[in-house]
Amino acid sequence: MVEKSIDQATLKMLKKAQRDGIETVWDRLAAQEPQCGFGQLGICCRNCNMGPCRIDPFGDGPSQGVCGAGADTIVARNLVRAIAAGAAAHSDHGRGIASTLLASAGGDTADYPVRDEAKLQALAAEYGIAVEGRATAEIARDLANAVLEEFGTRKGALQFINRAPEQRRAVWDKLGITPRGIDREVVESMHRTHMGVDNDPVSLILQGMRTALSDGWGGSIVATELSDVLFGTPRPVKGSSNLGVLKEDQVNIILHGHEPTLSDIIVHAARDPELLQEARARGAAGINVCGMCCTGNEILMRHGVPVAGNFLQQELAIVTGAVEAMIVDIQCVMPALPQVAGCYHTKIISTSPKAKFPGAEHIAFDEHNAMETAKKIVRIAVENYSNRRAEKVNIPADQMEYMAGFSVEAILEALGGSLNPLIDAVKSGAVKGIVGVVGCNNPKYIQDNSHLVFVRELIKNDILVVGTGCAAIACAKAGLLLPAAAEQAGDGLRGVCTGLGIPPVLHMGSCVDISRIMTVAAAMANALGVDIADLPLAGAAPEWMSEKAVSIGTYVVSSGIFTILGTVPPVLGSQNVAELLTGGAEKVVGAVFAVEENPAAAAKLAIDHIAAKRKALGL
Amino acid sequence: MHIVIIGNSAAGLAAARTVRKVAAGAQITVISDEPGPAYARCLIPEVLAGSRDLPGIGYVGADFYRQYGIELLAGQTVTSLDVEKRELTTANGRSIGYDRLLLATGASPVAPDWPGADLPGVFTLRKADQAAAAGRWARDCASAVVAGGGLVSLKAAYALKERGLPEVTVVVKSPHVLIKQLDAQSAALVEKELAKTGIKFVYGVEPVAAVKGPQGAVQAVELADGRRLPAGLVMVGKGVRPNVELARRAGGRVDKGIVVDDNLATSLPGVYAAGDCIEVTDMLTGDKTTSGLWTLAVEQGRCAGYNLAGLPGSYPPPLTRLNAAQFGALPFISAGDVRGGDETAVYQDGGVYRKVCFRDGRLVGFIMVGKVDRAGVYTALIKQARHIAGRLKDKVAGGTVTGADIVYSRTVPVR
Amino acid sequence: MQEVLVDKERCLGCRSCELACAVAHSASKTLLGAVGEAKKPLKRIFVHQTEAGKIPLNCRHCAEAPCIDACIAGAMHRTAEGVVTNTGGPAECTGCWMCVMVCPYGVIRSEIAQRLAVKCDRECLDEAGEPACVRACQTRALKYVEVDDFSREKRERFLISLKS
Repeated sequence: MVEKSIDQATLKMLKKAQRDGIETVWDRLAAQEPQCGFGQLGICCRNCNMGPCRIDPFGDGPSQGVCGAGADTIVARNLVRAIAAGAAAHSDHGRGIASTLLASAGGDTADYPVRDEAKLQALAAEYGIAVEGRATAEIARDLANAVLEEFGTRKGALQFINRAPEQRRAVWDKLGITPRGIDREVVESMHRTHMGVDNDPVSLILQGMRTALSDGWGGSIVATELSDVLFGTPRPVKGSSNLGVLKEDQVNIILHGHEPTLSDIIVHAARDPELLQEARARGAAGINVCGMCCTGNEILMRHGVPVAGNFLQQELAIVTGAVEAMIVDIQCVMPALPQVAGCYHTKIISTSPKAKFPGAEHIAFDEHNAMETAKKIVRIAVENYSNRRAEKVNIPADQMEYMAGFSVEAILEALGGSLNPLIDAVKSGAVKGIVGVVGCNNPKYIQDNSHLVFVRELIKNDILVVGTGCAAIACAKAGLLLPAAAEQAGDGLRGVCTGLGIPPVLHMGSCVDISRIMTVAAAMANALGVDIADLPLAGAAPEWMSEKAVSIGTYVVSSGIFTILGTVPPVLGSQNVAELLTGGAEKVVGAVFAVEENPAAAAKLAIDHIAAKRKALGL
Repeated sequence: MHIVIIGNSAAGLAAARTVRKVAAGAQITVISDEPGPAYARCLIPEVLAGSRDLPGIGYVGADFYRQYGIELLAGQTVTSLDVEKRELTTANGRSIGYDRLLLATGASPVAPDWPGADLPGVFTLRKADQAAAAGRWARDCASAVVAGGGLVSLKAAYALKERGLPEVTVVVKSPHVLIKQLDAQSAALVEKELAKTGIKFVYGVEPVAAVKGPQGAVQAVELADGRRLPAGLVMVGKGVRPNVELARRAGGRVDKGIVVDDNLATSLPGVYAAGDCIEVTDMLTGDKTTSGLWTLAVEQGRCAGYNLAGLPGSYPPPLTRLNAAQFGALPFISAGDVRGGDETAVYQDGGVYRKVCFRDGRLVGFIMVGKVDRAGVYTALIKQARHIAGRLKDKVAGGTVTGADIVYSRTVPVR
Repeated sequence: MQEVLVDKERCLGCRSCELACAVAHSASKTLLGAVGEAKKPLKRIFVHQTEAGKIPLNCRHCAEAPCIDACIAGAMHRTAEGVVTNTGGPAECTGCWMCVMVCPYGVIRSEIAQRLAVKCDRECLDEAGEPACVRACQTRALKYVEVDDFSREKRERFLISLKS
């Protein structure tokens, strides 16, 4: 099973899963293989009912769909639809947070007080909302309304794009890809990819870029920034990671999905004395709340809550037999969970009205009765402790400490209030550059292997890594989020990390928090008076799988940052589209995608790219 | 049991192979009047062209005869046959006994009856040594005339062009080339492709004489209309005639070819016949005709092989018109009756031509030029002789029918 | 011998077999590599739409193969393993299309420019000895099985039916 993961906890639980007769994501992948080549190449189209159509990639069959769309059009349309779906996911997440802020400001819920007033005021100022002498609730209401307005705004462009340097905005304006409204771009992408609308691959991909930008500089920033307002801006915090964080003698609750809205409350609810009392009454020593995936990242960043694992470990957490409840909200939650849980005592509780799971218990959650619902859910978990069967419990011992919580504000604090020390370190070459390593796990690739090989290679070469999402959890489990990991870094980076007491890999949050990375990149460019594309930066999604990652990669590239994909996107059915993304885009947005499945080779691409950018800057 | 096969080409070899397969212990002797092991007769134009030598058109592996335990008596002509004694005699006086005999004696080119037909430089194209000789002769020639517009003639003309002769003229009595296989439209495409190489065509006229030059060899061909075409080499392609003399002299029944029954047995006891030397019944017309196709010879040889080995099997009336070739970049296939029929569907787009012919709701023939994929499905439909209607007919007419349509058809084939 | 059998009720027409066949006959042997190759690989299995449904069809490697009979060059032959192929035999294919003319399944391709007949050659077996098309079939509409006498006979009856 070495080919499935390099995570020992995963491997142990896979063995247990096999013994217990549990089918996991790897088994289902094997059952799917061989996967459809047309899909892999992006040359099947189901957009209308004259189809489904597919193009023969070897020129040995149909070269056009029924409507006449060729491979270029079909591949581009499919790509744009994936971007739209990814952007929609992040942006809808952002809308949820903004709605919660509005409810909080309107006094509709007492459970979500503004926890970061300074950030509220800073954001209000960014939006031109008066703050002097106004009550927090009033400012919050105005900000929430202003942000919600961004989804359907008619003012021509999104507010947050103004964070980007002028040069970058000029590029977007020139190409006509400045995002005009968060919802609008997704809607227009769906429209354009409808049968018989936009058929020009270049035009389609430009719209894909605009849609992605509406995520990166719209929906995702909204999600990040307003979450900080409501739940607190992350500060460096310590905790532990991997399946070993589950406790044999406690009620284990796993919070899985993406939003902080419920999970943050559950963290508080689990401290309720009455519930703790109940847990003890049932023989548990306490209530152990753990995270999983990006919901895990949200509460890890803010509270140092232990994180039980990343994407490919969601089923395996249940396989430990020690999880009383897995509470899920939205995104990346495998529909297989209730089936796996059915073999143990674990309850899967879905909470979002947007995301229901056959076989799971649904407890609708909304911000108006947050604490009440949270307690109800925790109580179900506590009560379920009595159903736990000791003979089925096997928690792997593997766990690793981490230091996380590196919001932009936290980084600035660590640097003494300004980015200058970091910029100086980059100028001096102590830090050669910065690479954002983000994204998912993908069972087609050895779990965490690409992340870790890639990241270790970078830090060895004095490249500071900033991470989010499942990539960051992979780093956490491997000990790379500890200041001690600076030992694995090159001399320059080690010196910087040791001096500041920070790890060589900075955990910046969940996948919407890639917006934090964009904010840092923009700030660096502004400080140097250059475009983002001029900076020694790169992005990478070594094990990506989701449509959100497609949107992320596209907005990162569209923002001028070279991005390496470690899993092959379904675009190779059109050489023209593939060439545009990996070559032609350079002249247009100043950055391209690269696809490299070998993480060591991918690291070399990033290192070479950073060296070239440094040289161009005269560094 | 000693099985003797006269003929070392398609039918003879297929028979020998089959006998060996089903009668492991049989003694097999193959006698051939040609020297050396079997070769691909249809490829001898390549020898004429000089693109291959004789070993280059070998039809079996070097080890074939030893591997199959076949005694090959090459370069020996059988002169007589005593069916009472079950014994044959070769030209060099050797007597060979047999238990069962197969006549796979093939066919010989029809020699022209015009004056000068025996001049040096006048050739026919049937055997490898003829092709080699004509090729050698062609080295010193600037011009050639090919008499006849059939497949062998056109292959010869093409080969002579490949060899580099500046002037090659094909004299065709019919209004267009390949009169047996193609219609005027498709023949025009083939002619155009051949004309690209510089081959010239003269239609509606026949040679009447070969004209002797100062060196005693041919130097021109005189046509019926009085024209004279310069010709350092003349290739005569006027068809072939079954080699029936041995059977006839032994008292066997002979009509258009050696007459055989359903089991390919001749009228002579213990004697079978297969290949170009026999007469068959055309499956479409019911007419008696000569056979003369490599693929039929192989089928017959195999069928004869079973019978020789004592496993009776019948040979049904074959489709006798069936041919494929490619000139330049233009492939074509023709099968069955391509000009009869009561309904035709024709498609032409540039160099691609397709014609399918139906009679009484059955497919009876087709021509494909330029694109030939899935032609075998059409051939199969002709052979099945089934009623074709509805969507299947649309597909057949439209050129989109596939093997799946007939293999998995709901329609039961009718005879 | 083992043959590729079609369970036509199960074919969804996804054409994965076609792709897998082409990839198995490519230089790189991988899908993502094959799409970039200058000389596009050729499939030797074809998914057809018929009145009876979707049907993948490739060479049946007939017991008395008409293509072998018809081959005027002596290239088409049967290997010791029972595979009917025109490569690696006693002679080279000359592209005369006789095999194309007689194959009732229509599964021999004519590569006109190359003067080469191209067909299923079983040069695609994986470590488990399974052909690429069978391996690629998601619904098990294609199976690689030892054929019983009944099925073989049924197939031979079809061929005999062609002999009028």
